[in-house]
Amino acid sequence: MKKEITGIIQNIHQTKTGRKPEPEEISLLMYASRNADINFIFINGSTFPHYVIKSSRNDGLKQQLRNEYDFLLKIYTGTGALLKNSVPEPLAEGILNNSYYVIQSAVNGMSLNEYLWKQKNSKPKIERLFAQVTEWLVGLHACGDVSFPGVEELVGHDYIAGSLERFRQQHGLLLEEKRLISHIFEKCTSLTGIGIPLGQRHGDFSPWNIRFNGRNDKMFVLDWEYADTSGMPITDLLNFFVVSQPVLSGYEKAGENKGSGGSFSRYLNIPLPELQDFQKAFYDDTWQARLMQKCIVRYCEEVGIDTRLLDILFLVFILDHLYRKKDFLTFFLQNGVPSSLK
Amino acid sequence: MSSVFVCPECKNDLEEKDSRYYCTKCSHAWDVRDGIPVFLRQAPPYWSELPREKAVQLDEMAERTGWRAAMQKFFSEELQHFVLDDSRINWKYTVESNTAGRVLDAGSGWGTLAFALARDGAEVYAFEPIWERIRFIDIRRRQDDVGNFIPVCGDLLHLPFPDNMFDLVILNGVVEWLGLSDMSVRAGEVQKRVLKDILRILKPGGSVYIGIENRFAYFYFLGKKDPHSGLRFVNLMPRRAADIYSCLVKKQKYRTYIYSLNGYRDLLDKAGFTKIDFYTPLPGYLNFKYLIPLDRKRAMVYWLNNLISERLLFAPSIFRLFFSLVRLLFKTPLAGIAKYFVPDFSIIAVKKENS
Repeated sequence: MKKEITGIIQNIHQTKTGRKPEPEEISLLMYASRNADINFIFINGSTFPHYVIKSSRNDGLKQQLRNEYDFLLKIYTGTGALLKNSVPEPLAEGILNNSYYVIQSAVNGMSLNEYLWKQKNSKPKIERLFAQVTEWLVGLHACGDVSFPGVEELVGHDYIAGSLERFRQQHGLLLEEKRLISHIFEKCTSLTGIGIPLGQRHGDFSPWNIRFNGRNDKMFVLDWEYADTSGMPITDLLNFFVVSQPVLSGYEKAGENKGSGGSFSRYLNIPLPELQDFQKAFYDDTWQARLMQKCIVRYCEEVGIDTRLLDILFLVFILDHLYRKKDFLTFFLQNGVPSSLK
Repeated sequence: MSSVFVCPECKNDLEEKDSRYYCTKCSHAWDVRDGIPVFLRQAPPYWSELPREKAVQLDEMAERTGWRAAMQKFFSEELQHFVLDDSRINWKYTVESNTAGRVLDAGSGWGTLAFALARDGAEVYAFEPIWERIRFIDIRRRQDDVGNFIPVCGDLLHLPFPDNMFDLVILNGVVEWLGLSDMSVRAGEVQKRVLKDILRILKPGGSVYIGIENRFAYFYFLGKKDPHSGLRFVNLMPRRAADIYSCLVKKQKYRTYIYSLNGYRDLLDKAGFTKIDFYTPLPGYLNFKYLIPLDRKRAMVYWLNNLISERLLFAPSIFRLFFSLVRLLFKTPLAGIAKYFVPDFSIIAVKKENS
């Protein structure tokens, strides 16, 4: 396959720089991620890769890669200059040996995960970072088509119904849980005239998908496989806060042992957030939790979300994100929206 | 009727008649058992993750109730994951020749790589000496209706394939065991002989892929046991000393040779291959997430600084300390020697175009 990949890269590089690299100048570093095979392409003499090829043979993953390519194209052909400069440039797509591939420009910089880890005790730096992330998400939301349906529309929205149904099929819902969910819906429908803006959403907005250029604090966002244009963008922000917890708390995790790679491979998976992370992010009385609450309030103000609707937003977030774990729902139904956000 | 196979003994054409293959020259005859050609003069010593009795039961159950159900019953969860893990062929991106052409998976085990390449569109020959395993592969092939797939039972010392047949030959975790197949000559000689025969069956411009351990992997210096002989420090000794050591401790000769980077280069060079590329599969060649070119120091530095560092944030501090030391090493002139101490190698070697 190397020959074919080399040929494609030669053409792309020639189009972009006017110089066709020799095949010997091109080398690749392969990484098998959960969602796709990722090849980082180095052209001779470079410290960082020039291009990234993502490919997959699995039908579901192919669709995700197509989705990412289409979304990045939309950003590139759209008007949002802020976004254009902070996402990978989509360069080509195609089929190779039954695998669908997309080629993007490589994005370099430190992962926000690592950045957070290093700065986790520095309150001013974390504050600045979170403010920047919030600002960026407001920008993503503002870019392109945005609709503001009324609450009644929202409650009946297929998206919420779909989330609820998927969750119910997976876990079942107890009578008490059903009663509480109905109560939340009723409370929200009573707020006539107040809408929740729908719009662009990254869908996997996590610190490991964000690269930070330390020198000028420029932010890049990668991995748009789960992006959509009619989701609830605030879920990106909520997700970001929960999945940032393991790194902010700085705990050592035992890791999952998959396959026979020995002890080293046990630590190659970034741990998924657990209930304690959700609790820490929104409910604990720490400066980090207060900072996150401040960011949420600010986001709501900027985008125009009435904070009285946070009940339903949290509910949708839990139903459709956080790996659909039941203990998150139970905790939320027992504790409601964090008091500082009410 | 003439066949695609040749006589494993004299390399002459074979004729297929009454479910047997007959050599037109040396008059050897080879059976076809349950539709699978068997090119073995005698069954090799049994080796598998399952005891033979269980492997027979696995095949019987696979035939009756489906290979997946049988696998769930007889394989551990870890082995199931290993057998079904398609990402184990991700070295395909580094292979120059056509991975969707005609491929031989020599020593195909339970068929992971062979099936994954067949799904990529390749015409795959799965070649395996252990009958119970090749039968399982055949059952899986039939039940999944994989058309471009030919299971063959045979041993690597006697390949039943004609010259210039394959675009790609896979030797994943195989070369180190070859020395045990023929005890009459030096283990290294057996390995070289097989590699020469692999060169013969490759098309000009075709590639061999070898997944194997590094003789000088850093952990052997720290006392990790050699996975083949079960002995500590045996890889680091001269071969003759290793042999004496193995005879004393294990009461058997040391025959499972693995080599250093230069050792493999030399072995492949002597077998007649050109353009030999080395990668390191991490964490190991049997189950890797990363494949890093060893001729590009900057790719390795990028991996250390950008890809692996954030994943190790949650690892115990001893791991982080180890990687910090490696990173420091890469800032010194000693960086060039790091490639000699990586755990495993993925090697791609090419047969000359005009040979």
